[in-house]
Amino acid sequence: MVPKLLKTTLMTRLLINILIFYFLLFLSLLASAQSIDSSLLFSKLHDSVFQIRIIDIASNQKSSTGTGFVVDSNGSVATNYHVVANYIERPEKFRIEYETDSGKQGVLTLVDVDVVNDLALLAGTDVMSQPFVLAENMPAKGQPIYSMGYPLDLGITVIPGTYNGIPSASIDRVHFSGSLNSGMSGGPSMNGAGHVVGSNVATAGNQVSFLVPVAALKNLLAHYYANDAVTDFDQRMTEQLTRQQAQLINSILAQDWLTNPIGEATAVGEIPPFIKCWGYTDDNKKNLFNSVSKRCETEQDIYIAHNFRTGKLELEFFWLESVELDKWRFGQEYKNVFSSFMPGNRASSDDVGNFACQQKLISGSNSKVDSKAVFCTRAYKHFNGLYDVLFVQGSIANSTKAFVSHFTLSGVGIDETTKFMRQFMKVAQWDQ
Amino acid sequence: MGPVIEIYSRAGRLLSRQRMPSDSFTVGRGYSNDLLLDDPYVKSEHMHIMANEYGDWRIVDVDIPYQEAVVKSGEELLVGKTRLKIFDHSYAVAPARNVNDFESSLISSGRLVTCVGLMLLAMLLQAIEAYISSSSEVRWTIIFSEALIAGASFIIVAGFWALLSRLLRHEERFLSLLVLLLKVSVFMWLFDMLISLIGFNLNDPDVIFVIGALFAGFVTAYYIYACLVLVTLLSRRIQSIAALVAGIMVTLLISADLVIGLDKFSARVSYSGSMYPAAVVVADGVTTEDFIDGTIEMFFQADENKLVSF
Repeated sequence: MVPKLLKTTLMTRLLINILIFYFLLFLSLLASAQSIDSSLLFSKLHDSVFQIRIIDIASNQKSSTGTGFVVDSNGSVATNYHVVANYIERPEKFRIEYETDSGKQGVLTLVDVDVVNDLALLAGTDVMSQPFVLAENMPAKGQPIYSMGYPLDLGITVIPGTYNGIPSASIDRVHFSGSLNSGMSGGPSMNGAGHVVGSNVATAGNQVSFLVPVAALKNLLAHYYANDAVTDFDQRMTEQLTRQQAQLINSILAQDWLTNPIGEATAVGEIPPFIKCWGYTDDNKKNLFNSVSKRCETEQDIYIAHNFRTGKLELEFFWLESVELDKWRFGQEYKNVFSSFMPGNRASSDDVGNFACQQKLISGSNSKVDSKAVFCTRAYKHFNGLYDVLFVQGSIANSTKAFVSHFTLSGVGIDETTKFMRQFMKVAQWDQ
Repeated sequence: MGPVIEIYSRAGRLLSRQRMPSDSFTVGRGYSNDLLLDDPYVKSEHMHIMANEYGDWRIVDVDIPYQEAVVKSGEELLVGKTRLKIFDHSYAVAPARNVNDFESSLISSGRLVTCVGLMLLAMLLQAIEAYISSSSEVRWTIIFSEALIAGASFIIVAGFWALLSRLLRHEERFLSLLVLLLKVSVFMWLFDMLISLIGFNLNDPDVIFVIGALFAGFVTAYYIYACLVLVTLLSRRIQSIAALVAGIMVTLLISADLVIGLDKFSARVSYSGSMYPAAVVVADGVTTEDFIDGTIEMFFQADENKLVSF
């Protein structure tokens, strides 16, 4: 007779074994269900994902490629703005073509763009392929999503990854843990049901990639249906950029700015969720002065052309204190720091005019000159009413201590700049 | 001892002044004459000049002996296209037109003592600059070697001019050229320091910037003119034109973006970062609100800037 205790143990073991068996069976079923799911997705939708080619007319060769996908029954194709940016800049030099996975080709026309969200809408396909369904709800964090595209001109590819939410920042982007590669730009990312949750847009490498949330695409489509094809793209982009910068600056100004001491002065702190800060202390023993610096910036900018980006905000603060430097040498060092500032965004002479600068000595409340301020601005050639702005203010006391504060704003309007500058000058201060 | 002859160019500029060995002498282009005239309109043996009993000068044409003329001491005489004036030794030399004043003062300044003194001063200024611009522990060997390099570069530049002078004038004038260079450099350095102290503390540094550019042009013109006078045998007019052109070019180059807008597009912003303690003395400050109001004008200027075509 088997003792009761042993019997119970055996039964328990059996039970556990059965449970484990069923669990494993369940897992493998789940896995196969998923793999069936993604290959099903591919077979169902691959003909609605095109390679978008920007063709150099003179050589009749492609100069760059991206991915696009069919979004409605008229054959409208969504892609990234940056895929077609060359065409927008020089429409006489390029044309836009597509090629399907099965090799059909054709010419597309650009009908609308959203430069802030990096989206573009194309029309003119004669391929009758099934349009993608745009998802109503975003997936929960951690759910698998699948991205499609033509990476590196290698043919259509499906890449699985994980949806990781939309981190709050100046521009909404889905954090997608999966590997996007160049050429996949503009392609769709779908949930398990094959509904589009976003468009592929950028990668930071090591499985950190970004998607444009599908809401932006829905807005763009709504605008297109209501207004038909855009004729003046500069005008359309000006409106979008102007709205975006006003929204960003006003939300920044609506907050109470946090302050941090830097040396004896006061610097602006982080302005969540838009502006993040990094600090650096130079403790090189050979230097006869101490310097503490702090740099705050928005993490995102807006791509306009190959060498023209905008939408970035930067704030910098420097505290210098002499240890053993005499006043002439300290003055020279202060001058070096003060003179070193550059505009924070790339732009070429095709995009912006020359800087116009004002520099003035500023008197404090006691009407004593206590600082020097420089304000420089350059205007955008294609986007009326938008400017890049550079501001530097510096003060030096007893030739042993100095404070320099700086900000650059790119792609901003006059009103927003004035309000921002007033707030900045109020907060970043040093009462000697 | 014969009379003194002044030779003038067609334009009336004094070319040279020569003393004749006796009161009777010949004039012509040929080497057999007492007075040589480098003028294609003068015959190789042109004329004979001798004193008469009244102390005036009798001019006899060599080819036509009976054609004679008499000129008084100090009167002008045209030979070919060259003008001559004959002065006897009793003549009170009134028109003291000494063409070589500037040149001789340049030459006489080339003394070794002056040269060494200025060189030490220039090297000291260079050392001060090297000292001020270093923000870490002072390394005297580096500062000393920077001063030496500056000194050497002065010597090299003056040496090139001296070489040119050797080729063109058959004399080096090295010390004079070196003193000239050192004087100009020291002068510029001190002026630069002054202008930095005052100018960059003003609210509108453009004004002082233009003054600085004009000054640099002026000093360059002076330096080039002095070097050409010392080194070349060009006429004074060409020397001054060359110097003037050099000066204007330097002024324009320095103030290019202000005056003619040479740098049509620059990604760099240009503003001056200096603020020396003298700021408190030389300029008034504005209030923060005034500063912000003033920036509106900059937006308008920026709008105009974008219309500039390239």
